[in-house]
Amino acid sequence: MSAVFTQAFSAVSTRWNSLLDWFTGPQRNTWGISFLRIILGETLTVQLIVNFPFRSYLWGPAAAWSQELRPSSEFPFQRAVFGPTADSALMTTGYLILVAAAVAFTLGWHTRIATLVVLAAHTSLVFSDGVYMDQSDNLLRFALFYALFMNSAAHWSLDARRDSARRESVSQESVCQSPTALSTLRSRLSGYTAIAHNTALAAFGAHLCLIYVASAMFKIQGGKWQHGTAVFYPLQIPHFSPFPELSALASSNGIAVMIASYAAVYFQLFFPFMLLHRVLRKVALLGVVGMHLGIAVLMGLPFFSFFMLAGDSIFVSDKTYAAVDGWIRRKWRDARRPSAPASQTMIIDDSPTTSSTSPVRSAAE
Amino acid sequence: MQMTRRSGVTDTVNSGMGSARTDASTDRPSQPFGPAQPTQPTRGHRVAATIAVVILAVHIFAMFLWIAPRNPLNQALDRPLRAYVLPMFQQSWSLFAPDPISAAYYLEVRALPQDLTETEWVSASDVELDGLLHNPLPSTATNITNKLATQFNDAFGKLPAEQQQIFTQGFAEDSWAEMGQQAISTSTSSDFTRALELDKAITGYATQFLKAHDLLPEGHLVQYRILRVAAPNFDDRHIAENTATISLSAGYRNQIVFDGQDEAAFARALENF
Repeated sequence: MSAVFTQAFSAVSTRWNSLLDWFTGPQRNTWGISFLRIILGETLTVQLIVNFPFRSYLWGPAAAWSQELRPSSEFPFQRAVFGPTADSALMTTGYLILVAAAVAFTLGWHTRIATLVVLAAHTSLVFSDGVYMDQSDNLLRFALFYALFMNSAAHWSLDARRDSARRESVSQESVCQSPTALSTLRSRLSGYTAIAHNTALAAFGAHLCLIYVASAMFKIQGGKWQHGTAVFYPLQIPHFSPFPELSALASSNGIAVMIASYAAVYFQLFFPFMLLHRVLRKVALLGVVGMHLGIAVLMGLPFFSFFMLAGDSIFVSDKTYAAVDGWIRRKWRDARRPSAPASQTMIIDDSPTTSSTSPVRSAAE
Repeated sequence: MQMTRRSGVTDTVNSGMGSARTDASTDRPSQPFGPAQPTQPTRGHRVAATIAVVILAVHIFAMFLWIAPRNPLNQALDRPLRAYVLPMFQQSWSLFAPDPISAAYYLEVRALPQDLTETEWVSASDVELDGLLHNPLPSTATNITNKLATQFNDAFGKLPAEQQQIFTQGFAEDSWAEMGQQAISTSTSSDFTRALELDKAITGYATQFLKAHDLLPEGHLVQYRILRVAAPNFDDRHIAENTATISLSAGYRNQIVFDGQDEAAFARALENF
């Protein structure tokens, strides 16, 4: 009996250590998280610019008529900067700071600080009204919260470029210099920051899966989703058909409506399980990307759709991102390289180390 | 013939990108920005990872309970769940579910003289719909009257008949105080309070809208109604079109301008659609 317990304990212990290894290992999915940062930041920046002419109408003194309507739950000092009772100049200043922080976040410039500023300012903005905050705002807030704990500037960022330059200059100066106190501290903390990064990544991925499955579970309770006609209805409503001609085209064919309705339910319901299979993962991602693009174009919800697409980007493998990045860089490099037949090229060698007495020699040498 | 210059001076333009990009010569993915990763986790790392896993499990379980449809477990844990989730993780994902949106609510307003002579209704939602039409990047402002009308319609629908009647009556002065007085005998609830707040806010919006269009002389009353636009049944899609009906007509109210209302900014925003 005790041998059975020992074996079972050993098996559990091994599995537990394997699980911990995932969290204590290197930072995971850094490419996908960097892509998330860019899509989130870009979408938010565009949304803020689009709303700029309406900032007072939505979150400032032009919306004073809504001051007695408040969100169902609140943060402290919620209407300190934005809101129906806000000062116009303060509100505009706060809005511009948010835009600047969103741009910095997108570019990956002092990313951790930019993430915190965007999170605080955007939360303050959307919670200041009690009427039109929606799931798009909620989703962005979650993504920013998790991004605070992740390294979202590992690639395609100004922080990465600056760090790379710093490392190269340090390595060029002296190999024999002893490490600084800062570098020693960084090295000691790196394991813990990796744990925080991987934990936040797991939390965000699980949260997205919950959203998809719950959305599907709510849908399958409805008769119109069961009968495959659900997609037809919102496309008839003026508010959800900014392009009525496209909506009419998309919703007139019964088979297309049925396929879209069932696909919306099944891709969401089985999304987490499809991620576990190498091929089905790609199918699942293509399915939800298609769904969100359809919503963005046909239903006038581009910002919500792109926030969701940003979240989906963490499920694409680093290998795929790195391959695409490498391909783009090769194409860029090839495009910049001057092309000419070798026999026609003359090389001017003005290097002080060359032994040639003539600065000009043919490429044939 | 092309001239190519090769210099002994190191080209520093591209060297700063090395560790953040693929290695140009081999196209290997390079190490991410940040401190180097330790090769062997220490005991401290394992303890930290264990704590992280526990926090992760609790957090995901809380998200699951909050997002899931109502069930015995999330009902039993309602108070601690609310304390944990709200406000940071506030969310609801029953989007277009269980039934998709098949009708939308819009706002119509008008000014009424004191003698209640009939006047024309004006759509307060049309300007927003104009801002939405053929616009790939619509502003959040295209949603306001739709949300107001929908929220009031929902709040009104939760009230008992005797309280609904209060909202359809006209009140020329101190409208909301009068309405609250009338409701005292009917056991008011948070639903009534919510409906009253929305009614007042909609009247405030209507006041600004009519003023911006020079449709609200001094002393006139304000009235609003909710229009319901419904899609035809799927089976009738080739022969029927959307139908528009009056969902409810509120009674007239006095004009109301809330403290700090920037009327000029409101009018400018309407022109921006």
